[in-house]
Parts: sequence; structure tokens; C-alpha cells
Amino acid sequence: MPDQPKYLDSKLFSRLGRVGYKARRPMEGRLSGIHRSPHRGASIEFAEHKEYTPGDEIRHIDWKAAAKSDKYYIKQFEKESNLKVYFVIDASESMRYGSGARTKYETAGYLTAALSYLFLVQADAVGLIVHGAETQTYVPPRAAFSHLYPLCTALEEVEPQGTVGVAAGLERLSELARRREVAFVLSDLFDDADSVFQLLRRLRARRLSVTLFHVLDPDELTFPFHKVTRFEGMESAQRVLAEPRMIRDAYLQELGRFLSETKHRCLENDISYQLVDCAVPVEVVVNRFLTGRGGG
Amino acid sequence: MSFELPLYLWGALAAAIPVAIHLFNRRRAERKRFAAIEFILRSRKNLIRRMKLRQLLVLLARIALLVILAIALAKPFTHTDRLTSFGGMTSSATVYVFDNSWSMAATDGTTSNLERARERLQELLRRTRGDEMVALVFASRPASAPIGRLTYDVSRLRESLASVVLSTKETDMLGALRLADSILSKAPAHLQREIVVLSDHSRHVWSGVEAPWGLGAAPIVRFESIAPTSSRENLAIRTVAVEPAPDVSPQHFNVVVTIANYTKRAFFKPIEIEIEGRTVKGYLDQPLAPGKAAQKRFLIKVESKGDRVGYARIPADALAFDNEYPFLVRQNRSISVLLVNGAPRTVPYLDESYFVSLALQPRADARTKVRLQTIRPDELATQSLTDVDAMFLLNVAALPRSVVRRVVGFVEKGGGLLITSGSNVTPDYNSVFRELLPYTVRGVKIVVDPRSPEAKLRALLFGKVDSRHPLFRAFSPGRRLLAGHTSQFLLLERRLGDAKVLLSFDNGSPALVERRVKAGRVFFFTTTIDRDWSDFAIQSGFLPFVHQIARVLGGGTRVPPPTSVRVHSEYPIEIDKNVESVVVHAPNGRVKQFSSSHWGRSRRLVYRDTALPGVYLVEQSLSGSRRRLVSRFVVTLGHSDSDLRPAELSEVKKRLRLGSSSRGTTLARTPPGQPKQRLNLWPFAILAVVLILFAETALAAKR
Repeated sequence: MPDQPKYLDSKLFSRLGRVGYKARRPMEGRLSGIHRSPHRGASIEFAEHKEYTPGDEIRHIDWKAAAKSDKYYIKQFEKESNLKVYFVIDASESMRYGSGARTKYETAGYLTAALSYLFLVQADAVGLIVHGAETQTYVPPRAAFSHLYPLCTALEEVEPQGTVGVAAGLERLSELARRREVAFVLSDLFDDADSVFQLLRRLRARRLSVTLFHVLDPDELTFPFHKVTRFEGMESAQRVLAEPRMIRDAYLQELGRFLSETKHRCLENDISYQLVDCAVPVEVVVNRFLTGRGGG
Repeated sequence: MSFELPLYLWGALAAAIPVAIHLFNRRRAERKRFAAIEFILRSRKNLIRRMKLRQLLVLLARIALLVILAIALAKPFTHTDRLTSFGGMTSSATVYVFDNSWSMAATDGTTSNLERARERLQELLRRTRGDEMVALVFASRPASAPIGRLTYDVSRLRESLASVVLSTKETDMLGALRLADSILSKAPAHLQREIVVLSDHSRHVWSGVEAPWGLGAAPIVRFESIAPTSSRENLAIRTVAVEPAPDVSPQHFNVVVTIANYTKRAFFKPIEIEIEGRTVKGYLDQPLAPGKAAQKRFLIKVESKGDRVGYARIPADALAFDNEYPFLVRQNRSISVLLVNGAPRTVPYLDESYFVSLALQPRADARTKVRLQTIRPDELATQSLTDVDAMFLLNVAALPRSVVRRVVGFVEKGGGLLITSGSNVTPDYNSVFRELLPYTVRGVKIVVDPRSPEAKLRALLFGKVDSRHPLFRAFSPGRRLLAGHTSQFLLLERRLGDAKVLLSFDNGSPALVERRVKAGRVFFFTTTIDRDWSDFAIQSGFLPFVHQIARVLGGGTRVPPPTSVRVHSEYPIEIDKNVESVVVHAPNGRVKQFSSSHWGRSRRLVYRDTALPGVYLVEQSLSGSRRRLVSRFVVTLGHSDSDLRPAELSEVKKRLRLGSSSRGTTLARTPPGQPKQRLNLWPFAILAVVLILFAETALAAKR
């Protein structure tokens, strides 16, 4: 029996709650699903009345209303559709950093796998874009549950390296995605944040529902170092000798400024923002995300 | 700024430790790849200046801490005119070294250096605080301490100072410093030890002075110079030596005056000699350059007998003491000649010593008195030679070895010996008188039979004369005073010692040869001194020839009493027989009387009260007689203090191992009226250390 991809973690999936993801806005899917569609459809949920025009089906005429108003109205019902979800993962060198059990890339991978599992359970189509310096992995969205396997395999095959990160993935997404789809972006945003948000704004303009998972390592969040250290950049040749105790406050201040700025830009662009601490279990992050957005 | 314990300054090298730690920490830094380096850089951008500044400040604080700590341990101090209220008033134990040697009599025309030094010390004492201990040491030889223990009672010093007089002794700065150091060694430990030297600080003061404080910590030494430049120009008569000039006449003396020039100009002024009311002036052959010494020789004639006092003088300058130098001319005593007659005859004119005795027989008016004594060779073994100046061995046969040893001893001590030839003088002399003979004897050479008619024609005459020898100075080279016909003589063979020929026969054979044997000299006449082999004894030149031989050989075996001694030296007075009391008159008129109990059987009185320079008169009163024997002696100052040129204090400090690079320190010359006080700087350094420690702690903790 071939080895299972490490991201295909059944224990993780089992720990996920029963809260599913339901799009807040109408979604355009080709299949029927649990999500609202902008089109009127065949669901049982009444949407609105429409004056009869020739060509409308007669069976939809609301006869009670015609008796009251002496006019013919057509009863229209909501159409329910499935989602097309894209995961865009940052596979730059900085995502290899990890002080605990998982690197940031692995955390992003497990998070993607968990959410993909949930989406595929509710028959939504899940696609994957992972852009690194040398790898450009694209898994087209499919709604079949069996699609989880290739997704996880693709995640595992990617080795984060180089400086090309999430911005390239977002460009790729902007070419692929249509209106009213869902995009999850998982990155530490240590690339050029301006270009990332520029692309995100472009996606939002096409009414994509975008959620940003800002993945950071506990080291990056707390800067727990003590000894005099020569820090070397992972995506650049920068290096600096510092005494962490002396610069911790300033670092945390800078980080806080960066996080609040990122949150603020997300808010401005109606992008859902989730800060992911790699030390926090993935299921907790997923449950917090799903419950935090109101459960559907 | 100076340091009491400068060795601790090496501790400042510890300042390299924080630098080394700093560099080591930089190299030891852990390497870590970190994704969020941008924030570190951004945070450092904000912090970088502050951090760098703080790191630099911490590093500087640590370096300063160690450096200032080392400086504090080295106990820095300085001297200032104005004392601060903190740390300046250190109690001290001070020994004042007061130079009262005779060179301090130097004056600029108004005030002597001694008075200046006294005033300066009075002023220093007025400024002394109640908690300071003081002592006083005089620097004249030998150094003495009138206040030899440290005391708080300054008035005692004032009293001692008021009574101090100029000493006739030389400076003994080394002894004074040693004494001062010894006094300070008993000072309480909390007191700062200090020596203040009040002197003219001339070269002679510090000449040969080395650090007397061994390996222990040196006290602080302050030089208080009180000599103005005008009081440093000095010419000095160093010595006056009087030597008889017997080759000229017994009344003539060579007076050799040694002059030293300690001024900045060349000296070419007259030097005066005054004796018996006469004054002789003379100049040096060439101007005497500054810093040099030269001699001027005067030939003087003393008419009167006995001790005559003379004075050598040079023009007046800053120091008067060494401008006049008394000297004593002591007339030569009579010459005692011992004639050993080797061939006595009953017929006088045939006697070997007849013509010599006649020649040396003194005239009544003769100034040179010759005492003659004639003995036989066998009496020589028992004859006392103590008072004999010259001995003539006249045709003496070879003597026993024991007698010869006596004669050799006599000559070696300065006696003069004349050996004349004759039938008794044989080659046996070569072995018997080998220590004395100028040449070995070969045998008799008969030139002609004196009884033959042609004897006068064939006889040898005197030929070549060493006219430079004192013996022949009385003979004019042109006139043949040394005439004589010699028919026989002794042939000489081998030269011994430094022998030389003084007179030759006309055939070139030596007639008179000389050899110096230690202090004495030997003449060997190769023909007879009577008429046996030569008729020289009846020639006109014979008498002066024999006289000159007696004078030259009678230079003296006895050591005469000295004519002069240095101040504070003992002078031996030989007491004549039948003397019952002796009176010594000092130059200041003070009289000291001595009786026979003072000299006892030794007949030698040691006179010690020679503190004053000048001429001392000694009167010896004979018992039962009103006659008095009068003699004189001169007491002179030492000449070493005459050099008043300023000493190189920097070089003195090195020799005393003072200065900032060693223990102790010195002050530059302090202008009068502005005494400098010691200000301890180490309390400030300690305060700085504490403050830096606080600052360093605050900086290091604020991370």
C-alpha cells in the first residue's frame, strides 16, 4: 500500500467540528449545493414575485395573487449552488521557517487539507494553487471527495524555496477564477505586501470571497530569543547582529504595526483575515475560523 | 599630576578586558535564519543609534571604570596654589633640609643665599598647619639634625633656624637626605611624607648623590631654590701647592695656584701672590674657559727664616671665601750628610773625606746649613739613619749584606746616596749593591800614570754634561767650571734600572751616573773624590759640585709636618723637648692652651678645633725659659663647593628615582611667596569610579 500523503490526516479530519462553510454571498456554481446562487432556481425557498411575461412557465403563476390583484404574477424561487474554492498557498523560502513541530508551510498545508475536506464534504469544488520559485502547482477545482487525495499529494510535493511567493499564485488565480468564487490565501505575507493586496483587491472586484490566513510562527510572534544572535534573512542576503533582549520591544512593536496594518487593509477590502499561529492546532484554527464567521 | 604608587598604572591595561569581551561576544554570536528579519532590521533602524550609543557607552563606562580604578590605586596627586575644600588638605610630615654649607655664603651683592634660605623657610613654617609634623636637618658635612624627631612644635624649628650660622663645612646632601628619610620613616602612617630641600641647588650639592631610600617608597621631594642667577658667577682658587725649588736656591719656592672658572665667561685677570709684604701678579698663559681649571706657577723667594704666610688672590665675585687662599712657606731645614770614609788616613789631605768635608763646611753666613757626620764603614751597622738626608760612601769596600739592606732601606725611603770610587770599589759591588748601582762595575781603567810627565796631557777631562739636571743648573754651560784631570776611573758595564749618565769624560766614559730607587736616588762617581785618581778636588768647580750633590740628595727622608689641612681636620703638632705648654691662636683670635698632659710621652698634640679657615699660630713655651718656639699652619676650605652653577634637576630627579615614572615626585622651582600645596586626586577618582559603576549598571540593566 502506497504511503498516504502526510496532509491526508484522518485524525485531523475527525477532530474537525460539524460546522460547515456557507457562503455569505450568492455563489455561482455549476452544481447544486448548499450555497445561495444569484440565479433563480428550483429550490423550495420563495424568492420574489415577477410579473408574468409571455414565455414564462404557466405553472409558476401565482393564482392566488392573480385573484386578488387581477394581474398575473410568477412565483420565483432561490437557486442553490455549490462553491468553487481556491486555495492559494505561499511557498516561498520564508514559509519553511518553523520553530515547533510544523513549519509555516506545513501549517498552511494542514489548514488547506482540513478546509478542503470540509468543502468536499459539502460537495464544493476545491482547487489549489501553490507557487514557489521552481514549483508552480495547480490543482483544478473538483467537487468529488476523492479530489482530496490529489490535493494533499500536491501539497506534499511542493518544497518551499525562493523568493517567489503568494503574489505569483494570486496572479495565477486572477487568471483562473470567475466571479463569485471563494479564495483562501495562506501566507506569511513577508513578500511585497503591497502587490499582494493589489491582487487581492482585483479579486475582490470580481466578487470573489477572499479569506487571508496569515500564517506566522510563534518565534515571529513573540521573538523569544535571548543570546546575541546573527540573524540571516531566508529570502534575502540580509544579515544582522542583534542582541534580542535589546530589540524585542521594538521588534514586537514593528510586528504589531505590520499585523494591524494588514488587518486594516483586509477590512478595507472586505477580506476576511485570520491570524494563524503555527503553535495552535489546525483543527482549533479551523473551528475558530468557521465559528467566528457565524457558522455559515 | 603625579603618582605615589605609579606601578598600579599598569592595571589600566585591564581596560582591554571589556574590549576583548565585546569583540569575543561579537564573534561568538549564534547564527539563525529568520524569516521576519525585515522587522529586526526595521526595529534596529529605529534602535540602531540608541543601541549603538548604549553599547558604546557601556563599553566606555567599563573601560573608564578600570582605567580610573587603576589611576585611583596609583594614588594620583598634584600641587596647586589654591586648595579645594575636598581632598586637598592632606596632613603631612615634612623634613626641611637646610643647606648651611659655606657655598651658601654666595651673594648677589645684597643678600646671601643663606639669608634667603632662612627667610624662605620662615615663610614656609608660617604656612604650616597645626596637624603637620616637621623636622629640620642641616646639610653641611656631616649632615646633622637639630630637630631630629618629627614634632608639631614649629616654634622649635624657628628657634633653631634663628641661630643657624654659616658652616665652613662642605655640603653633604646625600647624608642629609638619608637622615631626613630616616626621620620620616618614624612618621605616623597616615601622614604624607615630604622632604623640602632649601639650597642653592648648585652642581656640587647634587654631585654624586644617589637615591638613599633603597627599595622602599620614596618620600615626596620638593626643591626650593633660593639662589638668584647673579649669585652663581664664581671663580675659585682650588688649591695652592708650595714646593721648594732647591735647584734654584734653598730660598726659592714654586707656588702653584690652581684656578677653576665656574662662570659663563673666560677668565683672564691677574692672580696675586702676597708674601712678606710683597705682591706678585701673574696671568694664566691663556684665558681660562668656562668650566675649566688651570694652574699658574709662581717662583718666589723667601728671605726670612721660619714659617712665612702667603696669600693667593683672585678678583672678587659672588663667593668671597674661595677668592683668597692662604699658604705657608716653610724654610728648608738643614741638610744632614753622613760621610762614610772608606779610606781614612792620618794625613788629612790624604784622607778620603778630607776635600768633601772642606767643601761642605758651612760658612758663618751661609743660609744652607749642612750638618756633617763622618763615620767608618764598620760603624754603619749601628748608625742611626733617622735624621740623615744624604749619605756619601767614599771609597767604601763592599759592605756586609745586612748593612747594605739598611742602606737600601734608607734610599728607598727618600734618602740620597753618593758612591765615589777608589781602590776599594771593585766588581764585588755588582752583587752587594745590585739594588742601588746604576751600572755594573767592570774594573779600573788606568789612563795614565799621574806621576808621569805627560800625565796632564793624557789625563781625561770632563766632557758631556746633562745640563738639564738640577745638579748642573748652577753651572753655566759655556764656562768649563767642571775642570779636572782624571788619570784613573772605573769602567762601567751594564745599565741597571733607569740609570742615566749625567757627566762623561771626554773619551765618552761615564763620570757620574744616576739611578732612582723608589723615593730616593743614587749617584755613582766613577773616579775618586780625593786626589788619588783625579785632581778635581782642587779645582774651582769641586765646591759647588759637592754642594749641589748634597742639596739634591738631601731632599729629605723625614716627612715634615704638613703646612695646611682642610677645615674640621686634625692637625698634628710635634712637641719639642722641654716644652711645658702650647698655645694655639685661631684666626678669629680665640686662644686654646694645652699642657703636657695633653700630649704625654708621644710628644704629639692633635689639634682638632680647625673649624675656621685661615692661619693658625702655634706657640710652644719652653720650661725654665722665656723663649718660645713659633710655628704656623694653614686651614683651608674644601674646593668642591665652589661650583655654583645650577644642577640639572631633571637629572637629579632621575638619580633620586623621583618623578611620575617612579616612586615619589618633585616640584618645579616654586616662585617665592607662592607655596604650592599637595592636592590628592584619588578621592575624586574613587568618586568617579562609583558614579561610572552606577551609570554602567543603569545602562546594562536597561535592556
